[in-house]
Amino acid sequence: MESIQLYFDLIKAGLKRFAEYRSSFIAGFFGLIMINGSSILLIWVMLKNFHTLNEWTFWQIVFNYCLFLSCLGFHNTFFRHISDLENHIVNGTFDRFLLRPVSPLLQLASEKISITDLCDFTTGMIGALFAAKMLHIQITVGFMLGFILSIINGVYVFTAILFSVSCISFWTMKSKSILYSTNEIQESVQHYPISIFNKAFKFIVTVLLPYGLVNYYPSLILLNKVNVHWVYVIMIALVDMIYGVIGAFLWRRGLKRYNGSGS
Amino acid sequence: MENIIEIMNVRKIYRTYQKKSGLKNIIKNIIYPDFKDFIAVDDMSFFIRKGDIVGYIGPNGAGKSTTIKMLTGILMPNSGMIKVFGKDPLEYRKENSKHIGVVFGQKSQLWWDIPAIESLELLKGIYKVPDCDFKDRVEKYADMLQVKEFLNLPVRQMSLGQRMKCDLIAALIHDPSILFLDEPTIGLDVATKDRLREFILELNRTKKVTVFLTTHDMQDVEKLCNRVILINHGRMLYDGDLESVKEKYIRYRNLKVVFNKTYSIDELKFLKDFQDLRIQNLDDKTMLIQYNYKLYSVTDIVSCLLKNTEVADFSIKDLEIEDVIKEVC
Repeated sequence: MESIQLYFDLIKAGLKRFAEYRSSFIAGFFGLIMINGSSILLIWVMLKNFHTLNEWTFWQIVFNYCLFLSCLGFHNTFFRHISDLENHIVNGTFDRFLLRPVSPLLQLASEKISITDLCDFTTGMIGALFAAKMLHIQITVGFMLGFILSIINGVYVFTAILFSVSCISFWTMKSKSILYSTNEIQESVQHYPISIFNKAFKFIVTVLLPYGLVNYYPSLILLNKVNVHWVYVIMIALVDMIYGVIGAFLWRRGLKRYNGSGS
Repeated sequence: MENIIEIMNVRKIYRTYQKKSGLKNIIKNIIYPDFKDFIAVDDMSFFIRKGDIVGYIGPNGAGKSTTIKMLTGILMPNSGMIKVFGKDPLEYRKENSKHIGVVFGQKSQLWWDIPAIESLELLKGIYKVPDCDFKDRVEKYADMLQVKEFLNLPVRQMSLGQRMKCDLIAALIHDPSILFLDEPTIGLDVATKDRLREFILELNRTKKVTVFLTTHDMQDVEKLCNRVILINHGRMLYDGDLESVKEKYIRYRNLKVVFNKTYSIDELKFLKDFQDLRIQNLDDKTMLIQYNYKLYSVTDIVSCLLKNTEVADFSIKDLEIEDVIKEVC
């Protein structure tokens, strides 16, 4: 309980920090709207000619896109800076976390907040719900529950991948370059249903870097594109769990290594 | 009195990987990395009693920061025993951190872009300091260090001196029993250094705070420390009070003389009457004369020099810590 209180106190400080850079926030806000607007426009232009893409209609793809966007926005707002772990280790500022009577993980997680990315989160939410409406899906309590769970799952997947990869910095001092190389994969998963790609890619984004768990599989369930739901639910839960265990393991080992070698 | 810090036969080895350049070596570096073990701290043993102000002194790379990191629970020694408050600082890191305050002169502990007072408030939450204690301490320390008007400034806009003072307040916000200071006066002007020193002394007097500090500034040692530990290459050279170290090792002062023309050391033979005197050529017109200031006064040497040579200029300076260490070796 105390940790949660402390987390919010630290996050509040992050908000104040953001207030120091107001103009950068406004510029970022418009930038994000432009990027997402043009992406959706691109899909629209494409589907105007083809009508469906591997049995996915325009609004289904919009839903798929927006679900990803909303999860990414929330993740970027609260957890994106976990990748700063690399800088902390290289600069030795990680020491600071170890000098305080609070978990270093909590200190790392609460270090920043990026309000600009909440714009992505809301755009994604509104877009997804609007797409669902256009698809004549009944927005029932059950659907909303599934939708919210999907977002929580998506944020978790992003954070788990980022966290696990960031922990590699304990050994290599560098990890951000690995993350940058996944950007292309992320974009493909965001823009298109992964069923259009080949098996190898599908495997990668389902198990190794499970970005597909963020939007593709939840969309299949939420948009009733498959008959049996529970198989997918179990698969998502399983991969989530495995990634969580990997992250926790790397973190513990990484801390031990840091105690042994310093920065 | 009880020992608040105990170190026994501590050794710390860093492993550094040596990367070779060249295309062929890229893969070799990954598969068979060449490494070299570097002994940062070797067979270190000492005890520190409550209320001591200890100067931990040595040249760059002597192992000072490594020792502080081991004492504060950041690094684990390869062998040996460390006890702070009778417990292993790494194993009991969280508990230990509640009772120690740490200032790294080179790195701020404060949040970079929010006002210092808000950083302090966050630390209040982290250390669970009661409201009234927090107010009292901030008020008192800010008053003593004269930083009240700067507390609302973001740390990034502060001068080095202001930042250092705020860092000190931050390290003391939870009323620690031990204060670790790693080069606290580095890069500060004389007035700020004085204020910091007074502050540390006052803290030690009134609250019996044990202070463990590293520094390159001989003045810090002279004004603050009742005990010095000299180290070099990770090994302890001397442990005792400052007076004896001075008695023992600082016998010499440096006299730098600039001549109008070039003299060889042989031509200064007339100085041989002075015992325990060393002459060293710095460049063709400058000489460094190290003399034992307890045996004779500088005026004797200078007058002798003026009589026999053409002196353009001279200056006297105290020995630096590095010189002291050279003496000890």
